[in-house]
Amino acid sequence: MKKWEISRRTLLRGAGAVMALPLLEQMLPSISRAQAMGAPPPRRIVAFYVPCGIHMADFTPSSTGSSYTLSKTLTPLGPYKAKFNVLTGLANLPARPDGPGDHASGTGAFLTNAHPFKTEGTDIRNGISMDQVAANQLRAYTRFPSLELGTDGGGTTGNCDSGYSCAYARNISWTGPQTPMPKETNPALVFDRLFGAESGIDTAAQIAKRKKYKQSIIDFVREDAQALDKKLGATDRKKMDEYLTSVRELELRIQAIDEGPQCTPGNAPGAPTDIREKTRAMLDMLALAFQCDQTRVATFMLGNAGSNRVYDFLGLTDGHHTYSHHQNDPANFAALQKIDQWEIEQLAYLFGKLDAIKEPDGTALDNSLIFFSSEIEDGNAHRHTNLPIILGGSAGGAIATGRHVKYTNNPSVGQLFISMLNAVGVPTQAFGEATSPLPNL
Amino acid sequence: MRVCDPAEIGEAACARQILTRFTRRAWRRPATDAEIDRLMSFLTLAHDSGDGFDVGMKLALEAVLLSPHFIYRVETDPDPQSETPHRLNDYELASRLSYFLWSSMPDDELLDLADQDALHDPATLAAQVDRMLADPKAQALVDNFAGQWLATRAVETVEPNKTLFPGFEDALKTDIQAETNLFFKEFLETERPVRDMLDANFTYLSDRLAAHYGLPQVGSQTMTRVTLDPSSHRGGLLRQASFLAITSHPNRTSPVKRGKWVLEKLLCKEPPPPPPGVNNTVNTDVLTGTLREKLEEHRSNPSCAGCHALMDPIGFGFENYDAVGRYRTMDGDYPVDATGTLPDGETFSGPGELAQILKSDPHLSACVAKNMLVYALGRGDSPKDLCAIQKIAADFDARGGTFRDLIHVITESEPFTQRRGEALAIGGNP
Repeated sequence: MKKWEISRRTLLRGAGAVMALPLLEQMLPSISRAQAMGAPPPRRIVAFYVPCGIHMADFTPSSTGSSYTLSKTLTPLGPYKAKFNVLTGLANLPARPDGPGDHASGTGAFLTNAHPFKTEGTDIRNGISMDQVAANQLRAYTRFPSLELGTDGGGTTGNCDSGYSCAYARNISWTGPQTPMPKETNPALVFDRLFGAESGIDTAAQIAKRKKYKQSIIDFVREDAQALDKKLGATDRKKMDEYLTSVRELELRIQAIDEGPQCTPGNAPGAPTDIREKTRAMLDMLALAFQCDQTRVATFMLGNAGSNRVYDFLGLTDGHHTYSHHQNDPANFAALQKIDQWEIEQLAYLFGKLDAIKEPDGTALDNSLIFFSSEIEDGNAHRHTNLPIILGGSAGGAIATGRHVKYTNNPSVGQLFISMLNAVGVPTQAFGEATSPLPNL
Repeated sequence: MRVCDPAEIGEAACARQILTRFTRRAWRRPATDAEIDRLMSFLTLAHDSGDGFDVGMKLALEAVLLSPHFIYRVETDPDPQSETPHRLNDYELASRLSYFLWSSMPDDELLDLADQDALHDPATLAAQVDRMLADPKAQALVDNFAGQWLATRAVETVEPNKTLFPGFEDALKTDIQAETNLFFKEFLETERPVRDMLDANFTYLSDRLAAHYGLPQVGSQTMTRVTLDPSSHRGGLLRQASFLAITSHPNRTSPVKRGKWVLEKLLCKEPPPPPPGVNNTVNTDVLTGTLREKLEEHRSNPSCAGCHALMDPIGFGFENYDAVGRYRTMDGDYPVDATGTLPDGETFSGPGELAQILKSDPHLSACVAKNMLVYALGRGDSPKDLCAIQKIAADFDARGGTFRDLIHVITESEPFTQRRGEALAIGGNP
């Protein structure tokens, strides 16, 4: 039997919300202090998830190297062709489920390159995600370690896909094996979280006192947790570890309380329900967070695992998931191509927003690495090989862009993640199933 | 939460009173004197920093709510590494009860009984369960247990093809969800055996939902209890649109999903997953013939037949209901054939006869019991629970088979009233 359980109410909010602390957050002034502290120039990581795979025949460029021609589906990326790579032939084999459940399992493993444990209960187990490895280091420079954004909500408990927990189907960011980071799906709330705390100007003495108060609370609860830890078995100690990590994160944010904000966030967005407006609003928030250097790590889910969204504005009448089981029917291929190209348009929109942010050593697009992919390759076959991958940006020139690189023998996305992490200044030897970086990048 | 006036009895005495009461609720047990002393130090800190009573109290209350004792439901063992079961203390038992039945913290009455170490007395425990079920907070069982077991929450995310099924809007979804929730609630609150959920002759309808079903208006958009005529083609859980819609594809029904749902949710006999590489969709555009004919491959292909012989016949029994739960006699150009033969050779014609077969299935009680035990404990079942589940199911049947019987049996059971530690895994973390 389990030693103890978190309350059902907490579970319903998602395990990652254990440390939702409105009182404390409201009292934290916004900060932006990277350059002021002589920190390295900002390097950033984004993961951009789309569900149900990609119709590869229209996605994969027919030639490779730097003089390749964009495929039909990739045409919206034309203006940025020199600033990204198309990578084909990579695999995420740990994502293969036990039995059916490719969508949830592929989504759970999307950034972890680990094998999600099949359960619909609370005993979820996955790996840490690539973005959170980056956040663990890059958080030192910003107010928020990372942002988790998406378009479709839903809780993280219960069965979402053939016995796989909704935690896997609805989250790609994992701070630890048992802790998915629930995503925010309302752009107005993202804005509030990023900028809502700006209020008035405090004196240095007031700020110092507030820091002292907050630190005293941190000390109190850490003492509680440490005393409790001694009475627990192995499983619960892991839970307590995660609690203590969250406490430490809060402590770092308290210590980072500093002067006021250094950018003008503008007006808060509304709460659009149309998927087109909502997606744009979310990507605007992502770009704004980077522009104001509120965080350097972000993930975005354009739908949950196996989404069956009906793209009526593209003239389509069936759901995305239904089309993705295409049976090699040309009519389904045509529908999928339309959806894929629309998804790529959204990626192009993000590229455009970031490329418009000028920084001392290039644009925010140049200084980022944006990993675009899906939980599977082909929606009919549910393959976890030859994943559709676009790698946007160059992390300040660390990666040569403008190429289509085709890999053979199924190298792991874990290798790509190792390369990405090193490129943004997070030294990494091993990740997921991989122990070496990706060659020819 | 104004329990005292610091101006009258002194700041320290008043703070101590407030914190003692507040921690008892927030931590669901009394705080120790040492814990209260540590919280009192926030008042000293505020005072020494030039702030008053209110600031100090606010810091202390923040600390209470940030503490792991608030955020987690803490249950400890005398020896964390011993797998010998032991009885929960009464505060732990009070929390299990209140999160099971109310999805919330224990109230004063439960905590008072725990103070007296009286809650675990069987008669007291049973009386408390009855009291809690009568409380409006027990609605949480409907929202959360029925929402998960019967998946009524999933109705919110059903998205049928708008061209084929115009009018399937949010207001209708809300009513469809409410129908099953109210139906479940009536079983929870009355002495009807749980088995009768399969063929009950009543339901709850609004005008909107009645129109969707093609039934007479009820005269209100408020959900209203209706006795169903045998000719209504309704009656029982499995002829409600919630089940029928959540198990359908956006453009058509799925006998496979419906059969799988019944096996999984009502009989706990979920078939194993399809073998790797299997093509698991039906192309409804290219093939001709009825859905039944298209699915025939399931039974002609030996690697599929084992499981689909279980799922498909049950699903075909509901083919008189389309992907949004409307009654029909034609599927496209073909008349509906709602007959079936189950693997044991038993035959049925239509959902009414199928419901009778399911109602008398001996696995039904154990499956309902397992689902509710899992909910009550907040953890998945393990092989170690098998004996306990069998005993709970037998007692549940013997006492009369109502939800109230089941809840009593579970709250008296060993898995609910006891816990044990966890042996150290070899090579695991210390």
